[in-house]
Amino acid sequence: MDSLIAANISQRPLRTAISIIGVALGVILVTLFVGLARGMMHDAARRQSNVDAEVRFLPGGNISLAGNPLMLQQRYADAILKGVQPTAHDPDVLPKPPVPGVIATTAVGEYVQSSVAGIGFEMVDGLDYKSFVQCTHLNVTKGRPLGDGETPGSEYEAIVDRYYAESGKDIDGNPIRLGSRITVLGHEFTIVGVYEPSVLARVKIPLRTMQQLLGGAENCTFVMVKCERPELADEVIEQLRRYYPGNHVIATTEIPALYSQGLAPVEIFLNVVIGLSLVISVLVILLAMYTTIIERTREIGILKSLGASKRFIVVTIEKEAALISAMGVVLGFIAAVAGKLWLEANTRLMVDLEIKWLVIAALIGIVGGIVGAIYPALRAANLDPVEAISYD
Amino acid sequence: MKPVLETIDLKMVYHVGKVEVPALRGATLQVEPGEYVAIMGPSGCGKSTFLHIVGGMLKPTSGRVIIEEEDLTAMTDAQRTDLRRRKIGFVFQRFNLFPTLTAEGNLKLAERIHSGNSQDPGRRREVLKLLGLADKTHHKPLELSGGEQQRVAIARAVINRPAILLADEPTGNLDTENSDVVLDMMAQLNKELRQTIIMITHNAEAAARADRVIEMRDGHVVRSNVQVGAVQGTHK
Repeated sequence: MDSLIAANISQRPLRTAISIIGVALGVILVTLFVGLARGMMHDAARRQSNVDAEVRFLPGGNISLAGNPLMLQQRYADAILKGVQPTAHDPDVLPKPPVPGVIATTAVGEYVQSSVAGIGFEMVDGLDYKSFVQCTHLNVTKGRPLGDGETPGSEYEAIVDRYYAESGKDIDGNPIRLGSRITVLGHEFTIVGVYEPSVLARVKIPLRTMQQLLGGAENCTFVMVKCERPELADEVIEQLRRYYPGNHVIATTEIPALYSQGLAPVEIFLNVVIGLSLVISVLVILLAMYTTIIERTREIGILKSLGASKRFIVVTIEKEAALISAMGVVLGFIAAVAGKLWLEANTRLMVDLEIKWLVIAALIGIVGGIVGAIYPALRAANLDPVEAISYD
Repeated sequence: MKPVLETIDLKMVYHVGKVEVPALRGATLQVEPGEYVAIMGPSGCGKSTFLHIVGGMLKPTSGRVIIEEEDLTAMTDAQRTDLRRRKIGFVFQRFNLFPTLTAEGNLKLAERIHSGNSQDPGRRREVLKLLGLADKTHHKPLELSGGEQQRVAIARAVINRPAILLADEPTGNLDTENSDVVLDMMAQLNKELRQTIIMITHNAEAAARADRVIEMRDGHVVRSNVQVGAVQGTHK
């Protein structure tokens, strides 16, 4: 690198530092916002699809994988598995046989609450433990399984996954252990078990308790359906659509794609963030280089007296801007990684720093810097040499 | 022998608002290769304008400037810059070194502007030695005396073997002792390297070192080979 450029950069360390921080800010905005959005979505999608049940049965209307708690009658779980027969209580119901190929079902309630850590949000599952384990490979590794919520003393029990147990804090701010109390749906729950692997929400409470607390008696958010064999899933889906029209039936394998669709509105927000980052980089470098040019007018006059062409002057200034931008990008990456580590250690937010977005952030920083330096560089190149060299 | 520099009826008019201010009113001059010429004259007589035009930093209103058979006045701005890069070396009263670069860094920058990355360390050492700067190469301007700074500026001006060295009051910011050193160095460059020098000065002692003294007045070259004593009393 040219010694002139290195000397110019080191001559004004504070201004250089501010410029670098400005570029870094844009890089941090892109990497952390995008990483946060994608990390949360990917993590949720991964946990949502990490079940043995091949089919998910949801209420009609817009498919929402979150924020639509307890809108589906829980009895669908039994109806799908065992069929429906008129009863004295409900004599008019149309009889339906069990759906062929289904060997287990479980009703799950899901609710989104503010994160106990105070940043972001977290999901809570309400489940019937016995049927739930038939549809997943959930395994309690510490403590004991979740109660049914009806047996006295089991109403306010919770189990959490290993990640939550290792990174979470109880209501007193202490690390999670068996017997710790956490706040769920505004109430204190006692952790009775830790499970693996991560499936759906990290915190699980009895469905019965969730129904009582949310006022959604006998309702759930969706029903998971386990088939005799995975290859029967399409056939089961067809049967479910025929037996219970007006509801949504999707394959578990479609869930990641649905989450990606859910990311589309977020993409608009992310594009705004990217645009803002670009503007920040351009403006920071434009301002820094513009003041640099004013300050170095005399030096530019000297360059011209030495026979430096306009191109030489433009390239010199652009190189300086690119170097400052590159340093800003590096600082931005370091800060983004530090931010990711801090967020993941202190909250339950997940940040995915994907190579693609790191490259985009780097390009935004460097291209923004180069674009921002164009006007000051051209202005410098077009200075009158005699006026410039006489400048005080 | 063809002159290294020829100016023919050179005129320059500045426009200050709606007012026209003539700085040169038809300056004609010839300088031979290897000549050491001093230009004297009162303030405002057009000396600096003349030097800037000859150095390609200004375009005259009319007239011609020919440097080694290249007509500077027929050139575009970019062509004049190129000619300045190839054939002109400037030395200024205020030294005009890059304060952030060492003495060697200043020379390297001039070399890079002139030749790109193909630099000549041997030439650099030769010039620095000739100007008594061999032990100052890693010093920045603020670590050097005024005389040393001006010698670095001279070294930078001649590093690329310019056809003409243009010096604008090179001793104007120096005390007598340092002035003598700088003038000795310029004389040495002229004699040992046959460097053509055109120097503007108010200092009669400085002018006395030149082969020839030119007197300017009111934008004209009034005498082109004058005894130093004859103009001594006419300028500040």
